[in-house]
Amino acid sequence: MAEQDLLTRLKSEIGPDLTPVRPLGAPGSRALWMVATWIVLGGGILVVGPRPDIGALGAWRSVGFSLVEVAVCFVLVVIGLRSSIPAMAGSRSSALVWMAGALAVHVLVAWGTLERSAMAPQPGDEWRTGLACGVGIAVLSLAPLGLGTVLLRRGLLTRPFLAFGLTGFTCGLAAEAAWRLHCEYSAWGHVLPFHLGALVLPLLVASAAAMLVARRA
Amino acid sequence: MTEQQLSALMTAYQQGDIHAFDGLYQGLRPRLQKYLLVLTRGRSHAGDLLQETFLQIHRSRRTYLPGRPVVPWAFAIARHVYLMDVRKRTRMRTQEIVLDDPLPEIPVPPEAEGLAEKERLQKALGQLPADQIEAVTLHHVWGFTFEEIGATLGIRGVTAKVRAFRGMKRLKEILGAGR
Repeated sequence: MAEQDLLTRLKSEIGPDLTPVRPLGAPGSRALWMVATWIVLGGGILVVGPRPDIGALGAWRSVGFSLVEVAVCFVLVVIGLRSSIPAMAGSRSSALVWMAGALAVHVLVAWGTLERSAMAPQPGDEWRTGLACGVGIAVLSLAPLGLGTVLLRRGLLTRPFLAFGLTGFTCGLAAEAAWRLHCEYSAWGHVLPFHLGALVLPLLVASAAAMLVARRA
Repeated sequence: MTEQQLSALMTAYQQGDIHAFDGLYQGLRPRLQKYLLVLTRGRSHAGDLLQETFLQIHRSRRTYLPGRPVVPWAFAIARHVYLMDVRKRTRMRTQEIVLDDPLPEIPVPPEAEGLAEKERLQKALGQLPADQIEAVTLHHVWGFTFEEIGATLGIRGVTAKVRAFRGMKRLKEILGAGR
């Protein structure tokens, strides 16, 4: 195809669609929308139904720990948003390292909470309370995940599974960070399977979204 | 055309200036064409992907962040277009990604030019794994830094460096054995 032919053809195709566009904001500034959503969710939980032992935990181990978790989630979202901009994506391995680090921070937070308040569900009531927490966390993660999907879709998803996987995982973690302000149970037998286990749902939803995007591309 | 000029053109293009597209086309086409040739190893196929790459550049123009280098951004889009094409072909089970076609002109790393004549070098390059060819050509031909290669390919800069190093080492071995 002659060079001039190609240029003419391209111009005829793009010409009608050539409207001014505003460049996307930097990933860090766009990720602040997600942070704002998480803070609204956490704040709402604090207003509506804070955990009964919040006084015993103190401000640092309750709200402070959750804010640390949100800060880690912010970094993960930035990595996810960077992967939706060509030539800004990081490597899969570094994303996995950050995900593992974020999970470790959540486990440390659970341990720090357990040290001060070791409440556990009544014997025989573990599954009911556990499932309620799991469902609560999963539901809380969905609205930010929707926002994350919109933010990702505005970019060019060269690695949809990485971008959506990171966002789904992060929304689950952030929802857990908010939910721990409501749930007073800090025992490992409750937190590990039902709080952190609830990350599976947003991850599945995000993977389904990634699959759709990959198929449509 | 320098990166600064390309960046200014890209910004004007984002503002809806069709003439800026002419400049971008002139500045990017030769490089993208060579890059796609490396990826596809098939000239006519590369031509189709070149057209699709410019269309994708148009559709994704908002993802260019002013002030950042344009060439790695455009190369990342070209690579995305290529990978989408590979996926599509795989899905359609047409597996005819022209690997059996005669090798096209693969750009020659200047550093390696003294090792052997061009034709032999191109054949040798064709024997390298695709990821090493990419790293070698992006670094030695187009002068990308390893960090830029990493960002374009979505790998760590160190990994890009290792691929380029291994590619060059293997290239020397192949050329040495052929003497």
